[in-house]
Amino acid sequence: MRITRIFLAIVIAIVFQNFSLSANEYSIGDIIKRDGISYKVLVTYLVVDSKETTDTIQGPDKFYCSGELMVVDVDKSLNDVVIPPSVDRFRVIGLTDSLFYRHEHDRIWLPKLQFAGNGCFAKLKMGSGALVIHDISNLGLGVFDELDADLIFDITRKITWGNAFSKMRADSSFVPSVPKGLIKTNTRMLGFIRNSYVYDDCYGATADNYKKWINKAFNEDEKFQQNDLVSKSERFNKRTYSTTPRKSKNGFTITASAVDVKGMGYPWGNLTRSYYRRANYSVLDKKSRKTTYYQDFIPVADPIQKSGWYVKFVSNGEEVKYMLNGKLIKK
Amino acid sequence: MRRIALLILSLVSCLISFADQRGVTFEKDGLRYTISSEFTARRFNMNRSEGEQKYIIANEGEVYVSGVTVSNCVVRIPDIVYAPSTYGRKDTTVMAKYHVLGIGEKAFEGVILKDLIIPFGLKFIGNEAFRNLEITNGVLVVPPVRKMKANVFDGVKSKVLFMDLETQSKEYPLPIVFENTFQNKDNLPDFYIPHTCLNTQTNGLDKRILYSVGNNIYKKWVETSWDEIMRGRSNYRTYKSSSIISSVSLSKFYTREGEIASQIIIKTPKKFEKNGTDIDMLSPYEYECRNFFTKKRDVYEEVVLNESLYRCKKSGKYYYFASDGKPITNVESLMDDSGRDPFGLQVYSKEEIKAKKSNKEKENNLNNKVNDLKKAFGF
Repeated sequence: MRITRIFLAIVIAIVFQNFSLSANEYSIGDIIKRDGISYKVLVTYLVVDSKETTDTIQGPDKFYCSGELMVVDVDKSLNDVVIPPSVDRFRVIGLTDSLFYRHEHDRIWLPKLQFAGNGCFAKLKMGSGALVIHDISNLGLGVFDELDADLIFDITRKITWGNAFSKMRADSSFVPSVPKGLIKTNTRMLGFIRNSYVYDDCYGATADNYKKWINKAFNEDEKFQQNDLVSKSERFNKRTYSTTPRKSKNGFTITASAVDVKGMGYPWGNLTRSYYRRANYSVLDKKSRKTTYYQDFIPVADPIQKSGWYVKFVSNGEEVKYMLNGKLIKK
Repeated sequence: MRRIALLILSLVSCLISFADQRGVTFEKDGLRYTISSEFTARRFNMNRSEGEQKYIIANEGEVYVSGVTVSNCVVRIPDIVYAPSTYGRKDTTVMAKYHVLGIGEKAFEGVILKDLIIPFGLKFIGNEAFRNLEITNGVLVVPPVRKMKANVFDGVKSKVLFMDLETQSKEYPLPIVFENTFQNKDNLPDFYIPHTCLNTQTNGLDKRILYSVGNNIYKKWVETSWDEIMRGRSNYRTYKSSSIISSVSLSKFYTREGEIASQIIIKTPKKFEKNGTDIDMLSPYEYECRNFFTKKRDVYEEVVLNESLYRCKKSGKYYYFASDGKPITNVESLMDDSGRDPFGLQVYSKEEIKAKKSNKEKENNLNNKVNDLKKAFGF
């Protein structure tokens, strides 16, 4: 009887584990196509519903697969291009090399991004006459080369410009590469571009004058400017969760994120097509206040455990298992 | 009755002398100027060939631009303009040196120009000075001006670039005073300033209406239209560190070389008068005279010089001094037959002179008679 119970427990555990794995809708490298735009999955990690609490998360089935996407293709025939901040539970974090190269669109709406690849907007022609860039942390080489429109930096934080305004010749020397139109920004944000190449070549405006620029870039369409509201309604964005109630002194606080695989490497060093990221879980031991980083995190269903499940972390091929209260499960 | 007539006549003569200085208009190089003040000054002039120090009596003053007589061309407002003047001169005309201090009311109203080049250091731009002005080059470049009056840029059909939002007075920056300059908001052009001026504190200007431009754009606009002005002034910072003060406001002139020479300093009041018209904005000078002969310091409304004497005006009265500062009490001796002083001012009317002449003749006759009597009685 006892052997049968253990066998049953193992079977149930395997079923639960498979169930939790079935929550992974996409895996790294998958291509998602939506509304004429193709996205590549760069990285996946586990998140929880923002409505869930420690009391309601009673097993691995409450974890969902989330991750980051890179836009790899946009249909040339699209008149208006709207790149959403997220697709399902996956965040859009960057644009691949030469994404809009020689494209012609009327309006483009971009979310806040982490990077735009080399020559991303090169020779792009805009029907509305202006391209609006919201926050992009890093820019590649010759990103705005001969952009056939005005360029509006609607930024709220510092940008790493790299060689965004230069391109490489055949002899590996750099030459300036700028948009054909004017470079514009919010006067109040000039401080963020003070050290950039564009500071001396840009126009600034505040209040009504700035609003005029933005409205013109989106053909006076107020609705078109509200595409970022989609991300605010996203529920599956809670990347930090605790294995025990918040006030409990034992257990872990696990935060899911992603890092560049090549150390401090950036996507524009190589082509973004070969760019990928790795999941990174920072695990804080509440008792010792010590943080450990792991490459993978697997919640495992196990009826033998008092809580009915335990957590497993993987780092450099080595696995460690912990009970929810932070105690190590020895092999 | 006779006294009243004399008073009226003297008042008329005063008005004529005033009109000589202020309000007279002349044209030069496509611009119309109005004289707002005028004075004579003793200037040092080194004769290089002879190696001797020489002094010349020069006419100087201030004008403002009150109109334009050309169109579809580049108009350059100079710092200094020369024009013939008779002020303080008797029957002669000299070329006077006028400092251009401002742009008058509606001076460029409705004009189409290829470009308008405004000098640095103007004191004011009058009401609606550029109303409906069109610059075909595309940018109206406005250097820092001390004061801009109401609706200056109303209906301007080109971009307007403010080179700076503050002027330099001595070593201190002074913000430009905008007096209802942007009051009529319906018909305003686009205003641009350099990024570097964004933190400048201003009076009467809502910076939200301004666009700012980077240094490269600024240089491109300024160098296109300001080729002449900016030559040798490639770095604006260099310009800023130099003085923009009106050269007149602190000038000194001396009545005579040497240690005991009286010293006269021209002083302009610090504040602008708040009267409606431009001519009143340029308030009259004060002339501070330090007289080494009388050991007194006086402030006069007007001072005129020539090689041997100077004339000062205070409370409507004229005082004459020798060049070393010695007061001349026998003023009649300076007047010619027509009652004019050596500076051409009609001090006495013909009737007064006739009366004085007849008095003198009577006195002479009386003296002659007394002398004859003395001789007859053997004294």
